[in-house]
Amino acid sequence: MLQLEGVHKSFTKNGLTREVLSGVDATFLPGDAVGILGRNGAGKSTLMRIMAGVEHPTKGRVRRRMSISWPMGYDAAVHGNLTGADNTRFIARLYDRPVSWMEGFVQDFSEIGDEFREPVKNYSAGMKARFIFALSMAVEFDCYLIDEVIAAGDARFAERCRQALLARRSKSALILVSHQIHTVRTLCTHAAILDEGRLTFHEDLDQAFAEYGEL
Amino acid sequence: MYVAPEEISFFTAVRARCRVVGALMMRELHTRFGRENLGYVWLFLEPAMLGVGVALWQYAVGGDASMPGGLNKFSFFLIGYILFYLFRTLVSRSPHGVAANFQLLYHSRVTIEAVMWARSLLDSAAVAICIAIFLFLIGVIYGEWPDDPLQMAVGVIFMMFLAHGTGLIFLSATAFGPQLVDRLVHPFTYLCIPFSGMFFMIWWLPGPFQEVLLWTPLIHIMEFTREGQFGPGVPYSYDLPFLIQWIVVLNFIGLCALKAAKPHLET
Repeated sequence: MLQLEGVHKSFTKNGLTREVLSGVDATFLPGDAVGILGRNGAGKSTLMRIMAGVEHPTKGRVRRRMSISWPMGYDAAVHGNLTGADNTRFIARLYDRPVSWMEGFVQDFSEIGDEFREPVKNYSAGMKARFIFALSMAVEFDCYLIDEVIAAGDARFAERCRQALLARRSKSALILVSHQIHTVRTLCTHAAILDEGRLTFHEDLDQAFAEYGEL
Repeated sequence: MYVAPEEISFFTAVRARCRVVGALMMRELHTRFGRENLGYVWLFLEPAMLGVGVALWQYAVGGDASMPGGLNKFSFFLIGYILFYLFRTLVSRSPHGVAANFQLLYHSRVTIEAVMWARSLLDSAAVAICIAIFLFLIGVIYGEWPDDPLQMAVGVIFMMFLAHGTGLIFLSATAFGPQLVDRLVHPFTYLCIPFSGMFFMIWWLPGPFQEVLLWTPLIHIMEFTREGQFGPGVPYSYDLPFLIQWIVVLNFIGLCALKAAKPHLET
């Protein structure tokens, strides 16, 4: 279970305080596949970072009773100066996975071959995306936080990601953040709209899309 | 439907924390020192070079004058400096704890506290090994072996806890402005030098100075560690309950401050 209770987040810059989230309540359970729709600047990434635990709410609380992935779509989860293998071993240790099994899995799934022994900063954007996605699949999180970037990569890999995520949907929660209706439709069963710092849930996808279209 | 476990036991939680700190230490080793040129050796070489430098300088400036109590001048300044170096390096790097590791915080298991612990433990282990190597060399060269190595190890542990608590407070203060704290932390560690007992012992000083200095914590650690190094023969002044109070209070304030500062720390 991932639960947000009255989460507020504001940032102060140059003496001006801007409230990005003003009272978000949500509960996510394993098996949920929720797409969060929001316009640019609606606070989607802030919400994602708070759910991942990168940032802390100014008010309210976040309860985590399941393992939650890093927000996929940022390359922040890996260290550029370390090799793919080093990064993999670190994550295996961190999440208590067998190290050698995980090395093999990530190398296979990401199809990066010998570059696995190269520093991650030398990877192309596509390779990096594949590598990070493979890492998250190896850990087997209870909850995956996904930015739309995954849907952006090359078509074949995007399809593999989609299949892998759909396969995990029975065991894990998926929380997908997007401003595109299309991405949400392919992966999610519910949708929520983030607007003016608040999150509104919709059981019915079409109803959510209709409302999102009017914003 | 699958129901997530509600609570995990205390020991499972402790073990999970330890695993996270262990993984972070391994990673800190890789990112800070890498595998190129001397690699991990730098972890010990840095305090060693500074310590030898300071000790040689003291040795040269002092000329033939002997030390009060007939202590070995070289080992006195060398070990004293390396011990203080642990405090200096942990405190002066603490304001960068979040900014330098923000990528790590994308893993929900990694907390700022764990990152800070990984650093404190790694540097303390390096300093402890560095001290052990020099004690061995001093033993071989001068024939002076430490009186109680265990007491010296406890001294390093005291220093780690003291620096850790102080570092947490500096890190939390960055919520008010990272640049400001960064500028303040260096003068702070320099101004700590006269209070650290790095260059002197309490019994060398006149009474009023002794009283003032003994209100500060660093000197107690230094005297305690030196007792382990040189053994009976000269008087040592330290008060362990007083030191432990300092450490507990600093760490408590540090943790509270960090909790309050977390929503405002820039990542």
